[in-house]
Amino acid sequence: MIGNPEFTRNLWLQLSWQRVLGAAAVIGIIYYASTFWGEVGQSFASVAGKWLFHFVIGLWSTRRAADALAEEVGGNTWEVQRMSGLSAWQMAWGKLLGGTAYPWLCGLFCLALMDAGLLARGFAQTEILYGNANLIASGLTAQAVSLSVALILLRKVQLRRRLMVTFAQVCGLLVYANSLFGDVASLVNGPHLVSWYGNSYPATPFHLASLIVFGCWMWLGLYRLMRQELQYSNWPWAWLGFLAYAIIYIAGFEAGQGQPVTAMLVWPLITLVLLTYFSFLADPKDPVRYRWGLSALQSGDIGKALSLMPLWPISYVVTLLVGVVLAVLLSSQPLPPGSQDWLRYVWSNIKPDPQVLVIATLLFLARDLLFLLLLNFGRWRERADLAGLVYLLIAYFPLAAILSFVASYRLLAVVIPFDAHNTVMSFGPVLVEILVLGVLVARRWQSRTAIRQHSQAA
Amino acid sequence: MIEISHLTYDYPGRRALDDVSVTIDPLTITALVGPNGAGKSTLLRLCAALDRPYLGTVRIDGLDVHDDPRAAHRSMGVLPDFFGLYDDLTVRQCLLYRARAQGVPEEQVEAALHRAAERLDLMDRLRDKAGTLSRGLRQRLAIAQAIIHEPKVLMLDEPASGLDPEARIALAQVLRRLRDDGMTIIVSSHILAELEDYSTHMLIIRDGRIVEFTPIGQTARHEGRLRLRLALAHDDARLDELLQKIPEVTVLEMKAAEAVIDVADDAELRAGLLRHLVAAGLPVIEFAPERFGLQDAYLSHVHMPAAAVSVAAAAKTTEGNLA
Repeated sequence: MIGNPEFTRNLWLQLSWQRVLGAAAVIGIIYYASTFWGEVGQSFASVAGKWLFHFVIGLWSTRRAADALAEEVGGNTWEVQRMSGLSAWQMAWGKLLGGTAYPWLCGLFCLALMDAGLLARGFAQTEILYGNANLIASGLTAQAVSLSVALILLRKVQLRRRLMVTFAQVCGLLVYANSLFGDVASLVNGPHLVSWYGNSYPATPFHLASLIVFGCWMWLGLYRLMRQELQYSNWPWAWLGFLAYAIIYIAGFEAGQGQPVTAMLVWPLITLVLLTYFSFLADPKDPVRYRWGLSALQSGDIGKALSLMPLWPISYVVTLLVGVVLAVLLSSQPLPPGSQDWLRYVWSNIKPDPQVLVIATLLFLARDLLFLLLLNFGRWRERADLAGLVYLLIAYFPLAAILSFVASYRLLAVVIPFDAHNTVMSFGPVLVEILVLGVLVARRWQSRTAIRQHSQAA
Repeated sequence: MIEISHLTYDYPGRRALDDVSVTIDPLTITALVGPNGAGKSTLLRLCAALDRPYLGTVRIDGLDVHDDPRAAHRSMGVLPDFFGLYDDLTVRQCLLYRARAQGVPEEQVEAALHRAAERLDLMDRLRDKAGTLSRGLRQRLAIAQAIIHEPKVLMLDEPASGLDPEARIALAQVLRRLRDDGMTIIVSSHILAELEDYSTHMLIIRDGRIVEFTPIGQTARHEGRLRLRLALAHDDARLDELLQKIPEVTVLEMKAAEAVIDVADDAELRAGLLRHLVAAGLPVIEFAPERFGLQDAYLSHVHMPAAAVSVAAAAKTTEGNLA
């Protein structure tokens, strides 16, 4: 590990004897004090150790992970790092583990405190091991997410604001929150089983295995982002792999229980829709790169076109494929009653046709992407995504609610995917919106990508 | 050493570099100059593989920097205008980190550190934190970091910005020494007088195109012709008359006691011309080939109209490459 100069540099900055001894002394004092209070003290030590770990790793280290990059950018050292001979992998883990070295040291002391309390209370070693693995895996995954989000924001030229560092930290924190699920699962360990592709698994190890695999994807994502930042060409195979994994993993919860294929595809489709939005928002949407990519495609340079291709069109195509398959299958394999509960809950008296909703969802997704693209090709690129999301949220919620009150349900299909029990009314409005937005995007695209020579610009 | 071929780069709505091609020879110091927004920084960033071009390639010592940026970085050193130092690390830690980050083998790291520190006179500062150094010392540390892995190519962006005169003289000496040690150097700067001190070539970029690439301080020879500068001790109206009567001479500039003339590049002809002027009783105090000054050459190019520049660019770039 010391062979990584980036990791070593972070250790120089993060760890000093005073800081290490300070952390050890605090945890040592808590443990020593707990020994005077018998069972109450043991219980206090385990709970204090766990919550201190949550604080140190969940809150602090996710902040440090994002800050590790933000400090480089603010201190003008990031460009120098990008011009070094360090590989993307060395940069990724050196920054991630090095930048959070001190929180991790404190976190490990906290785990030791927790384990000492649990052992004294007679907990099984396996249970303690699962708990530790869950916490550590959650922390590593959360940090990878936090640094990845910081890298994404850097590509979007938005990392200079402290608020954005906080945003990256919150994203990491949200992922870290799954460690609490591990806690809950451990309470009901044994009788609680997870059914996946027809097999039953104990909840705790299943959750831990899922977390570790998800963590590996996050680390791979971080590595790929770092490669991109270091100007290496990235083909989108990793993202395609992640989409395939998401489909297979989520479909497994409905598979093998005599459910039709349609029931297996509902949640993967919803996940794919969300991932399409995510990949769109994460993309810098640089019209220059888009033009270069299209130009490479036209000239038959597939390798260059793939390396310049943003991930959101790939996500949309995969979503479209899964959605179309689901819509076609729904004709012959209707959803079982259990899978439609959420539809009944939302529209109890409308009884929407799932097939119509699937097709409308795909169309509305296209509409939203075009709308966001239109804003991004405008003058205020930096604020385009946030402004667009606000507009869309207004359209999906307050406006939809107002329309449903004012004009009954007939006009809802203008703003949200809705089965108006009439093909023209269900799909007509959104198709018109797509057409209008498509024309506007094309026009704005032409004006954004027209190249002026210097003399013309002057 | 550095081959830039058809380099093209765009910013939204604007072409920053337009089909730039140039070859820079080894062991030269090239001054990269041009007005603000001309494309100098973009060119340096592309050469340093910080950005990818739309079209074209940059090869350093035969290696395409955009094929494998990390490998390319191991054979180049870059000094950005902001230096990029870790203020909380000591000078020694800064150099150690950079040596390892640039792939210097572990057993050679100490030797590389000492060599770089000695070259930049930093041996007595190894224990100081980078954040406590003066601007001149920070700049020396940044150069030491950039050369610690003995790169073949060194690129510096505005290295003299904010330095006092003494530090600038020291910088010129350092750069000349590095060139003598085998490095090829590109320096982007606005301070032309300083560039003239150590540069061997000048690359003028304007409107994203190269308008001039030429050796500096050489005599103004071109296609067998030579520009001569003549000066008299005092005004003499006969100078113009005499020169106008000689068919081998073309008068380019004429002032009261000074003239610039164009003659065939022939030593015997020049000797005869000087004899003729002296014999005519003119008080000649200067009779020498005109030399290209960086500042004059730069100003003459940046004040050319854009159309003339683009016409001149094709011919001059080729000529510069040949030189």
